[in-house]
Amino acid sequence: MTLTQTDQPASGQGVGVPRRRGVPPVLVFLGRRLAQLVVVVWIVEVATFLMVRLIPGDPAREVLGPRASAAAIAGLRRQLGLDQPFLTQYLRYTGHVLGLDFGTSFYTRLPVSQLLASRLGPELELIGTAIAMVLVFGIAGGLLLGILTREARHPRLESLAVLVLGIVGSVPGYVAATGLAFVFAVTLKWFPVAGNTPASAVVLPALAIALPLAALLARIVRVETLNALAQNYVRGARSKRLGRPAIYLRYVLPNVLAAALTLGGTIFTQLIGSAIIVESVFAWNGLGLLLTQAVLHLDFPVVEGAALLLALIVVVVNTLVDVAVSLVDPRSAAGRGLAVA
Amino acid sequence: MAGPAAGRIRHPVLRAFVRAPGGLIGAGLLLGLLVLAVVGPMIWGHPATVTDLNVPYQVHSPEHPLGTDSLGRDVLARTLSATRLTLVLGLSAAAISAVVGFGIGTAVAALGPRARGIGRRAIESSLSFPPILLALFLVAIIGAGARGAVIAIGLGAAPGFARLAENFATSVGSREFIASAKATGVGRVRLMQRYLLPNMAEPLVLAGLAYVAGAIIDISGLDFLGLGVQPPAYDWGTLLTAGVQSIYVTPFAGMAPAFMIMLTGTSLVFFGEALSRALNPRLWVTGPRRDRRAERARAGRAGKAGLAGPAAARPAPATGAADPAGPVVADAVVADAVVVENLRITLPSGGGPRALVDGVSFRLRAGEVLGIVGESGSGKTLTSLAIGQLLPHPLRTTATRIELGGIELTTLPPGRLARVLGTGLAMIFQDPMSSMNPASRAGSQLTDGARRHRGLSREEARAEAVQRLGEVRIGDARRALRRYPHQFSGGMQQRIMIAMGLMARPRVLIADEPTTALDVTVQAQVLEVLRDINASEGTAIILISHNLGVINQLCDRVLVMYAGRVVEEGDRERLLADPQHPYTKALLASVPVLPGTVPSGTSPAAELKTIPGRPPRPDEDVPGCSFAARCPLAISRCTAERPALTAAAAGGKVACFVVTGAITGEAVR
Repeated sequence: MTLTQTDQPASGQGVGVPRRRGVPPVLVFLGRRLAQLVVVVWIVEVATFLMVRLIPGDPAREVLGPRASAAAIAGLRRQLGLDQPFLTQYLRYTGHVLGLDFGTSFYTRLPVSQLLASRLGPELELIGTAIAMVLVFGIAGGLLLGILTREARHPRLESLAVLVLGIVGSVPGYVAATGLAFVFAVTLKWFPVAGNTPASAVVLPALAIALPLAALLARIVRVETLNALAQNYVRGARSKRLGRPAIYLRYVLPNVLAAALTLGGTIFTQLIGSAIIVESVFAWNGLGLLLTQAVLHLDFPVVEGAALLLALIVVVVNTLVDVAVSLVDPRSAAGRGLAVA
Repeated sequence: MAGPAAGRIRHPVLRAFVRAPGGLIGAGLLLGLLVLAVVGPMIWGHPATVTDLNVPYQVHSPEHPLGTDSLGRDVLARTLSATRLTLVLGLSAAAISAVVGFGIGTAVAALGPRARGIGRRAIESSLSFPPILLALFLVAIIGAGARGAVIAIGLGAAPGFARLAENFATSVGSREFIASAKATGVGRVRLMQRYLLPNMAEPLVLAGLAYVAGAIIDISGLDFLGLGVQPPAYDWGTLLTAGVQSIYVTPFAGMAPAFMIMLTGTSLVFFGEALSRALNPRLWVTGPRRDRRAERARAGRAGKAGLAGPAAARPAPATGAADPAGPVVADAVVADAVVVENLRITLPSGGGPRALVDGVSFRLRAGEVLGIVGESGSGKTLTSLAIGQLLPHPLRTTATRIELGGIELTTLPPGRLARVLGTGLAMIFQDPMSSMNPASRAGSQLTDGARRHRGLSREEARAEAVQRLGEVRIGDARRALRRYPHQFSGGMQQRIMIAMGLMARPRVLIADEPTTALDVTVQAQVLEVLRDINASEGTAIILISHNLGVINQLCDRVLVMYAGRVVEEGDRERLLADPQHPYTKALLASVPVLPGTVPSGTSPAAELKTIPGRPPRPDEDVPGCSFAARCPLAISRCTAERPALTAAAAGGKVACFVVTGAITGEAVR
């Protein structure tokens, strides 16, 4: 029996990432992730193209109403490109999308790209703030609860926390938004009721989006904390008498984060969905408000553009979550790449 | 919540449902909602549509307790009568998602491996989109209104069900009986119908039910955006929207439907959780996080109730094993590495504390290797954890003495305790694969203890770690420091754990089943390393194992534990060659091959003996010897009185009346 046999790494490096000579596994991972992103965006683009064509009956009639003249309808059909063969329609549409040209809004008569550009900033501001809140409240709260209720300590606190988090987690964003607006904007007048200014205006909508999802994340984090605290490596760390802060920060937190981000990754895309609705409560001029109003007005060019851009944001956020997971979890595909010694 | 009532219900499924937290509350609320859905429109349907333009936007009045809307209609009546439409829409949408999702999911699962991979990826991708975004998109195509909202929300949530179904179908599909069905030539479609659908009915219904509340919330979201139910029809979502828009004048108008939505959601969550618990027998006894201790405590309570009479409050162990003068012979000049005297570990429970370890006393001399053997549950691990002061909550320790290197641990203030234990004791646990923190590199885990307790710098600690890794025969130690745990094999991880323990330069190393999870060749390496350390550094070792082969290879002295007590103690050679206690004999007889030693009275060729019966549970009150019930030699005294650990004629100590009493060796077959 020779020692060298067992001195080889257990799984071999990068089981999930094939080793290519000269290409660092990190790049392979990122490249693959990027390719996935492109495929998904392309599918969304096809879907937005099909949308107008899938409307039962004549979309132009649908938009212009029953009393429109035949000439007007023919004009709109031409504007939408519906008079062309299917493939030509698709190629033209794709060409326009690649040139960031989504046509002109039926409703405001403004170029769609201009509308999108003006709404992108506020959208990212809202989503970014909400994500930060979800991370801070969800992780800190869940970790604290996990530590307090470890090994079935504080059973009353545990049931209370599970109940409260369950209730808060099931509140739809717009109900939270209404409640928050009533208390903090109407009654206490700490924040504006609606609009994008002043800078503090982002707090309430972001909070309304973040609170239910933070409760959801806190539940996951709490369970994962209990899980990590019951692991052998935590017992080992305690047997080394490292002290609580070191154990929680270095042994518990990274493992909790990896598991919570893997399990709770969809929280961040749900957050974008919640933002679409909450923007209406606070008249926050983001992409979500633009999209919902466009759907109401049957403003198809804007629907196409806003849906495509929101989908792009969703895909990018997803990719970022995956990258974050790989950074905290050395066992994930990319982590394996990053960990090569 | 429903504790006392739960005991009387016979049917296990019902009982589990009632016992689940909130199960009854959820069921009650849900029933109320269903009744409301049926009678609501009959009773309040008309009042809800009566407009009274004289009283628009009333906040509260005797006629309108929750006020009125913009047309003077009663908010309470509208909220109650909207229950039916809301629930119908929610149920329809959930049914659409469940049926479509499960259709897609099972279809994907039935595909060939390659197509299945693509299908799975497509489901994952669509899952990453928020359902409301998909729904908005679909509403744009179908058109606004109740029908459009239900279809859009239903389809929007379908990917989640598709993934669930695909996962489930794939896992069911890989089971043995499916394989045999395939082997007998049953086609894929038949397979689905005959085997998969019955197995998937339960998760399908549960997930669908769980989503009803979600669907109601999602539809109300569309209502809120003006894309859902259109006037004059109304559901909670439209009422909520109206309330939100008039929040300045009539703050409560929006609260009523919001409350109803939340109530529905909460009751469905409770109901669904209780239902899934009731349908899953694995969750009946304990909750997901309640571990075996809680289970044991509960079992104890039940057992206690059945036990007749006054034996309940057992007096402190006055007999035998607790005798502190017995086992202690102060002959050593050097302080003993570990002294444990009269250790008792208890689990608090309803019927008073229950002893898991009782009256254990032993010494580990400097540089000695002491083996502790016994079946699982005999208290070996708890004893070692008690020395390290690592017992989990809510276990309690009492002991006359627990000393490490002559320092009494039980009375030490926490700060000093951390230092004494951090530098004096290292522990290695079973299952090396879970002993290292998977999220950080080996180097930082190897060095953190030494840096904290010995004040080494990063570089000094790393240099020492390299040296220690060399001692445990990890090649290319510098490179190993930069690796993550998953990059090592199990044997390497265990040797790294040993190196980690050595970084503290401990006086004592406790190794709890260090080789159990490893294969035989790796076991040998780990034992070799332990032997080296003991020889070269004089580190005293407590080796806990149920494997007598391992004990035989390494130990100077052996302690045999049974049901929380020491039953025999002695030098390894003597004890393995000439066991005294009937339990030790039985234990040795149940070992297939014991290198170098043949237990007396048995030939190696003799058939393996299993020990009949089982050890008493901690909640069982055994007044006499715990082994008496399984012991072939038991006499009446054995069940009445507990034997003390006393010196045996053959050497060592043994707790057995038969061996140490009038009847000696020759009576033992």
